[in-house]
Amino acid sequence: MIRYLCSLSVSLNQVLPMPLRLCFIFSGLAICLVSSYSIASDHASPFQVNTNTGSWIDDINWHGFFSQNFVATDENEFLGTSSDGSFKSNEAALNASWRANESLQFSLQALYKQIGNAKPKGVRVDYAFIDWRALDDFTNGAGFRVGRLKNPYGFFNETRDVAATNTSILLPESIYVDYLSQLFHSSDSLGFYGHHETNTGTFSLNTQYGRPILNDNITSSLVGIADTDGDISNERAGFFRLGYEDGGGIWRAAISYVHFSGDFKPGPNDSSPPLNLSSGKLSIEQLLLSLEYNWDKLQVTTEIQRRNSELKDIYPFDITEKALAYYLQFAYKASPTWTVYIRRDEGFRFKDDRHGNDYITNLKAINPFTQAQAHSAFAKDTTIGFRYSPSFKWSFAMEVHQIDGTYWLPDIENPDVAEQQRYWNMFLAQVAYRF
Amino acid sequence: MFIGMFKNKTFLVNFCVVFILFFSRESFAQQNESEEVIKPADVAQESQNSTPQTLQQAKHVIVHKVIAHKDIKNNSLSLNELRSIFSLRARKWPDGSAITVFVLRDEHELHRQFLLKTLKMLPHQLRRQWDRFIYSGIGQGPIVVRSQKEMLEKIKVTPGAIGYFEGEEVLDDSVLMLSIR
Repeated sequence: MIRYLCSLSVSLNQVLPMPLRLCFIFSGLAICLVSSYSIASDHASPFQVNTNTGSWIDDINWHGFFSQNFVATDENEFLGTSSDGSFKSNEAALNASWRANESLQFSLQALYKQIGNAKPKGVRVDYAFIDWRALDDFTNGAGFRVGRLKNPYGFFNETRDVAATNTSILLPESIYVDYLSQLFHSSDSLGFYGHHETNTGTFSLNTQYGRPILNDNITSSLVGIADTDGDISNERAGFFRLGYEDGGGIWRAAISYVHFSGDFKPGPNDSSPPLNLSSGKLSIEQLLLSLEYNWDKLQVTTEIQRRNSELKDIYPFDITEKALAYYLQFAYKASPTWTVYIRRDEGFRFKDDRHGNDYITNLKAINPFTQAQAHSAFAKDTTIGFRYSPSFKWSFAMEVHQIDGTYWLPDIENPDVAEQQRYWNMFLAQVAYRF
Repeated sequence: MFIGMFKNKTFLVNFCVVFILFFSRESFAQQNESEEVIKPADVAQESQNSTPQTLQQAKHVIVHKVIAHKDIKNNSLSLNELRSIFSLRARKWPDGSAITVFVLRDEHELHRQFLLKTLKMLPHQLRRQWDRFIYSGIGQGPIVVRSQKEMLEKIKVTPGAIGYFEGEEVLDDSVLMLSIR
């Protein structure tokens, strides 16, 4: 905890101006004090509103969470310099929501998140929006949201940062790529949502369109060049999700679609040799099918995703990737507090070239000196682990991964592609708190 | 040293064995505990009029009453309506007033039994829905109270409130008892 706070304050020093920094540190201290009070006395959260007080300030709901991970790998680096053991994977957030009346709600969340050696480190606005509920009865509900919204995608995207809400420590990386998470995380959008209750369950619809939040890392991941100095403009992202959930929570299913597009303009380094990039368009579209079934204690979850990404006019030749990813996860809830899980997650950069042989042949035809290896075209990950949640607030987890392939291994932490090892193992441990 | 241990390929196997040993012990302990459906201390603390006889009954038959603020005009709700209220999807009563949901803590046995027997929902699934509301900003969580006594008091004074109650204690007309269709 102390180590975490130290690293937090060090990174805050680099990022925030003084007054903001003070505000954040004070609010952090306040949270620590109140939460230690609530642990000691085992009271219900002191942040819960008392609906009878008059002032609107008393009606604000406060929640938050933090988690700290430890990552160790035998080969390759993931989430920091993990071959020596890395603590560079953590997050902390504080959110507030206020309901002006039964159809108007304001919500805001500030998030600090460190993903290994990737930038940016600092506190950012994760979401901030107004929710207007236009239709609301026992059968139907519908409304609009405007502002910075969490993107509806699959089962886990909206709550992926809240460690205690996930079964495993890492979500299936081939679908929920950690290093690209910000792109699909939240966007400045206008959204429409609705639900309809039937006798057996609930249909829900979420759709939104707007501007995603980009940074240098995302730009380099999208273009595929680690130290690009180019920029993406006119970026747009649209999300759509249709879901059904059984009334008793026995099963649920969803279909999600996202479309992202933007214009790339190379910087001075990019446009000169050896890269010689030019201006062009990039786009990604993803389709995801999700299914979950719950027996009494056993939960089976599976999702399958197709991703098409396209780079047009940027390189001398256009690049198209038709990727495929899927996973199957079994989680057994032995008691309300203990869960054990096992998962197989497979991802392929090219659905028609699963071993990456054609990929390397093509690369070598363009650049005979390329260091890229065929195993960067796939990753097959077997995960086993457990989670112990003694209360709503605290959660602890450990898991091990046995991985074949380096498809989602980040170049930022493994810059020398020739050094990337095909077979590698990973151990993770997590402490998480929320209120 | 730790990393060295991890580099050993037998680590995965060791991890599983240690885990299974630990895990089986824990689930056994849990089993013993769950034989007792209601902890007598909970009931005794919360219903002062209870006699040993009512305690015995409470131990074997749990009948939750869905209770609401007395000004609410509905006398009964369907299971679907009840689920949409406790899942926090419905925000308004038919007369337009806001719904306020009161619950006991997740770990509280009465809460778990209410979800399983009355709402007929898996507790962790309902929690997942609440978490989505709370942590993605698209709603607000239910209000968590410490005891049934507190729940009763809050429901009496909060317009639009709904919650649940269990026990032999006779509820007067300061709260509304809803029947489930």
